[in-house]
Amino acid sequence: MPAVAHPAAAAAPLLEMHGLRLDSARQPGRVLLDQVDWRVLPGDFWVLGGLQGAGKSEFLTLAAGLVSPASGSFRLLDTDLSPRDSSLPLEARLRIGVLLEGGQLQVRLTVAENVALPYCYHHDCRIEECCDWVEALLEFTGTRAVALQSPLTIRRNWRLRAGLARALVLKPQLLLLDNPLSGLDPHQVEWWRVRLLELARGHPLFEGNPITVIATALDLHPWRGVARQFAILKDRRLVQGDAALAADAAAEQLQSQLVNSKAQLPGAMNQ
Amino acid sequence: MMQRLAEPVDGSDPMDSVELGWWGWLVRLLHRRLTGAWRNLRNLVAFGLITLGVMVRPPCPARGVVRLERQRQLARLALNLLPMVGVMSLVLGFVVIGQSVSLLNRVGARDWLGTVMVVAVIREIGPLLTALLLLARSGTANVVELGTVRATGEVESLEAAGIDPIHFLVVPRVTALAAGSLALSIYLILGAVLSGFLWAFVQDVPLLPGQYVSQIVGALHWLDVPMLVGKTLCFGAIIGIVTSYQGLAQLLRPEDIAGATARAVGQCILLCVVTELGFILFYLAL
Repeated sequence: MPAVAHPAAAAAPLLEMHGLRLDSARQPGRVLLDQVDWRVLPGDFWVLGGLQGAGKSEFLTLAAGLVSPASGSFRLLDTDLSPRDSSLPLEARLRIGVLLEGGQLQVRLTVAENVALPYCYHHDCRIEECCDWVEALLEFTGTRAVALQSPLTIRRNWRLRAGLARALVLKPQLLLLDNPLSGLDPHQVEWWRVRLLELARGHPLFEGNPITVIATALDLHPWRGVARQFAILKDRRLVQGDAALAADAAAEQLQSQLVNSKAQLPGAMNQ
Repeated sequence: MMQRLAEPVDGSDPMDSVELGWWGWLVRLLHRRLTGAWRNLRNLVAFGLITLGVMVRPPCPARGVVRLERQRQLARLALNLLPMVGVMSLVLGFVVIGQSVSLLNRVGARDWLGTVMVVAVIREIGPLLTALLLLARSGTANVVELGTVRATGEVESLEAAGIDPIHFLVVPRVTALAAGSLALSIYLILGAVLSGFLWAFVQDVPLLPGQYVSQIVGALHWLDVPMLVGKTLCFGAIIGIVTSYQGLAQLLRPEDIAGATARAVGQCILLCVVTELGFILFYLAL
């Protein structure tokens, strides 16, 4: 199968890692990933698969610049993040939209206030001054009906969508999503597939600018036909799909690796 | 930053490995308590300084959002206390004046009623009682709320959106509690003064309102006003900083929240009493 030329192959990478090591913040002394070499170019759509406990969420927070690597080099949006120093400049931080697992909305605020919060905070304005933009995002994510409700009173799928709207409110260049399809029914999964594909191709809400997407997943299958690049976190390594393969084949190959890696779990867990 | 302020979770002590007798066990216990208290105090001071630094950092970003949040917190943490403080002010006036009237009548020193009111209520009991009410009602709620915010990952989501959690979560609470402490103290003092006069009137004390007010004004020292303002602001800020620290600085599991709340209450009372003593010594020195 011929290699597919990347549309942004000549562009400077948004994210670049060389020989990087990531230690667990929750379990001091535990190495989650080692010798990671990874580049993310503008326009990429990456899905990182991994079993529970493989370090997907912590790796995503590293990619967002929220934690620093233990060693190796890490360059994010033209900023060098040296080990043990996670100070990403605010200008760079605002170019990254992050959806953590579960949405993590502020429970004291309504859904609309949650979506507006980053915009109001960084533009020093009231929600009334940005209501058109917030309404457009609520419309885009289909959360207008729950806009005035507390996140505690709505279902998880609406919280995730509201979290997506909040991640998009500052028009990010890079969108990081932690396990967004987990626990969703097929209808919801399809909604996410369609919306993320629109964002990756360039949606009119964002002046047609494509957004680079990195998502984590337990299962790579739902991402086939949507994501362009696949990788799995396995045995403390980031194993990337063969770029020469078509996305479907790469996903299939990596999914089988992911499933097979269960055999390497401790004996007690296999029983 | 939150993780750097957190206490070590393993609780290991290099002295644990040393085999000692009964005295050794006592020394080890004392050593552990003292080092724990020192570490806690150091972290609290660091947290307070960080909060102060964020508060005065120029140029102050997102003033509108923080102002709105401060108004919310002021309504939630302080205004909700108005009925309770109102009742306490009536009780305080009755207790102080009721007891004083019978005592002063015996020694024929009824003219000292206003002085007793100033010394007991305005200078000492009023601010401290308000701080205790604020701690019991709002400070404990603050620990639980911020502990939940931390446990559910809302802090990380704020950081991911470029929002400083200290600026958005802690500064509005500290300023609201400080302002609320001052306002509620004045409210409590006015209520106690009024109810004290009513109690004196009920007990047939021949005291006109003008005489009562002039007694109080005459007993007041010019330093009482700045001392009252300074003291109440300090109490509110202490409650805000300690309860925010206990809620945010370490990752709490649901079963840890009760312990963190109890720690916050103990530390707030201790720090408020020490502050009160400091103000008394300062007053006496002048």
